[in-house]
Amino acid sequence: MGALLAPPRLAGSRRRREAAVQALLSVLVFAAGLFMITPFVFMLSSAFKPNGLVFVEPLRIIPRTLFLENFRRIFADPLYPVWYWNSIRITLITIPARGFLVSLAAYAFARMRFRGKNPLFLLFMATMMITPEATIIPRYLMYKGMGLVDTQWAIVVPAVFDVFFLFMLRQFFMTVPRELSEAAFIDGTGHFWVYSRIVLPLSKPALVTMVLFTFIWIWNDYVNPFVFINSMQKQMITTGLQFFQAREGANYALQMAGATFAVIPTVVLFTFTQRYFVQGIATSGIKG
Amino acid sequence: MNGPARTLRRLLGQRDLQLMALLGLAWMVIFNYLPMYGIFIAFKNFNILKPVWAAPWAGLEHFREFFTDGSFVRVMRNTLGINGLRLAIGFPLPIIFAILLSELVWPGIKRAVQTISYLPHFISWVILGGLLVTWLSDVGIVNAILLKLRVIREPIFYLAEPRYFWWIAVVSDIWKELGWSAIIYLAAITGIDPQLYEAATIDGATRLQKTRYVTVPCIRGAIAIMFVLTVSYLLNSNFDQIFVLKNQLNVPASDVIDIYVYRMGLQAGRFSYSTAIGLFKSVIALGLLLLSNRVARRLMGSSIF
Repeated sequence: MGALLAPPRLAGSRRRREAAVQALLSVLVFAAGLFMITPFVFMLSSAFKPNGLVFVEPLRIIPRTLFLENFRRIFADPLYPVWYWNSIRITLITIPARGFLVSLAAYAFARMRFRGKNPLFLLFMATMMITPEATIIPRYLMYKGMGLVDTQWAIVVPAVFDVFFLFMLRQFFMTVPRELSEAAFIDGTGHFWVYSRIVLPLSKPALVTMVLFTFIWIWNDYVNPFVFINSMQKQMITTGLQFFQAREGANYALQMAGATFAVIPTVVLFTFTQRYFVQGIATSGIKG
Repeated sequence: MNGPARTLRRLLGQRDLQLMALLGLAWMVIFNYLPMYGIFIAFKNFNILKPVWAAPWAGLEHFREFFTDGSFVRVMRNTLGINGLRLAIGFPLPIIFAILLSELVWPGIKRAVQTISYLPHFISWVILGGLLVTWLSDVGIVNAILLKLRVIREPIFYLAEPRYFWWIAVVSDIWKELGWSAIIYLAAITGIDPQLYEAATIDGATRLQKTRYVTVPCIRGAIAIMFVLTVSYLLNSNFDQIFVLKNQLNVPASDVIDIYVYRMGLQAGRFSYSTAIGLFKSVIALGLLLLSNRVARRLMGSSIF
């Protein structure tokens, strides 16, 4: 029992062993990190090289001279900037519309009390079980009937509401104490006031998470523009880039410049919202 | 007061709240539930000239055709092959990665690697696919490195050979999702009571024993949830990924259900047939979800529902 009472004492050999274990772990984890960053490094590196050098010296990470001609050609391309702008416009319309509609409904579901509320909510959640691929033909036919096919509204309109975020925001709103809103009701304010002045400002991590994921999912969406949009002029950056890569088949440097420029918004948004979404996921246990 | 009257009064008393939910619900009815009604065309001989309700019934004919079609074996083998490998390798790796990260005490490298590992999840498959196609080409960087290391003598055009395709799909998917999948386990590990580790230390447990008897049992719930979800996706391929990596030469290994549905439905215009396959897939997915949920509950004592 003496060992139990004595303060934990690290002998010299044990401390050395702990340091060795930490060093080993660091090497392992660092290798994993290297494995994950390498593709980005090569993408950047090739984007700043003339195409002729990409395969001559593939392992030279930092180019001898910074070659900007690839980017100049991207901006001068008749279609690339159009696709880029289309994607920006579609996300800029969808995000506020979705943010408003979903948060409003989520507030109502967090506060409403009626019998059958939970089964009803489960019925909504069940729509997430049907994969989008299963309904792609019916959706195509429906959008065609609505005149949405081959317009960018085919991406925007269906994306305005989303069950996943309804669930996420409702979970978050339910953690806002009712006492806060009850005090406001006594002062004669309504639900909309409570929603916009109390609940929304308190839910910043959840809202930022929604904005980030919505942006990423729409920006990276390939299937929807591919299926619902036909005209080259109306495509988004993903479908456009695919076409671009096929067209510039042999010019890898130019392709990499196109790819690099297309990931910039994602990386920027990711960097600025990182601490919010990690916190949001850790607290709610929900992950996209 | 009896039940229905009270429910009614309550409903009337919450008009403002209902108004707030109304627009969202209308959206959901139109864009989530109406397309489900369209799934009926799986049991009909639908053509684009007539509305869905007017199309003649076909019963289970489309399902029968799919099961007896020559492509059935191929698309099932590829779908299950890729997803099976992904389950076998891609499922345990994020758990191991999360445990390794959590054992690391140096905060600098831990934070940096964690942030880097999330990044690939946010990049679209079109971009990653473009990178992969370039690197795996005969003059690409993979061949350059392997030639330099003298692992191979002749450059190999990896995406042109069906036998490499499953591995390319699985490894690139793991690369993209490893860090992101680890988030949920990292969050679970952070939530473990430190006293458990202290007690284990006093009892003389080694590092591996602590991982085996403290960490793993404590994150069992998270493992069970992820396991159930992964198994239920066994027939779901990543359409974007396969679509950007497939080509005429690797088709024997890259033709998966989702690609087949797209080919039949939107390219060949066989709406009813491809909807039937999509429906078949959803039903199997639901069955797998219930089954894996039961398995998880029995083996790990934890499940989604």
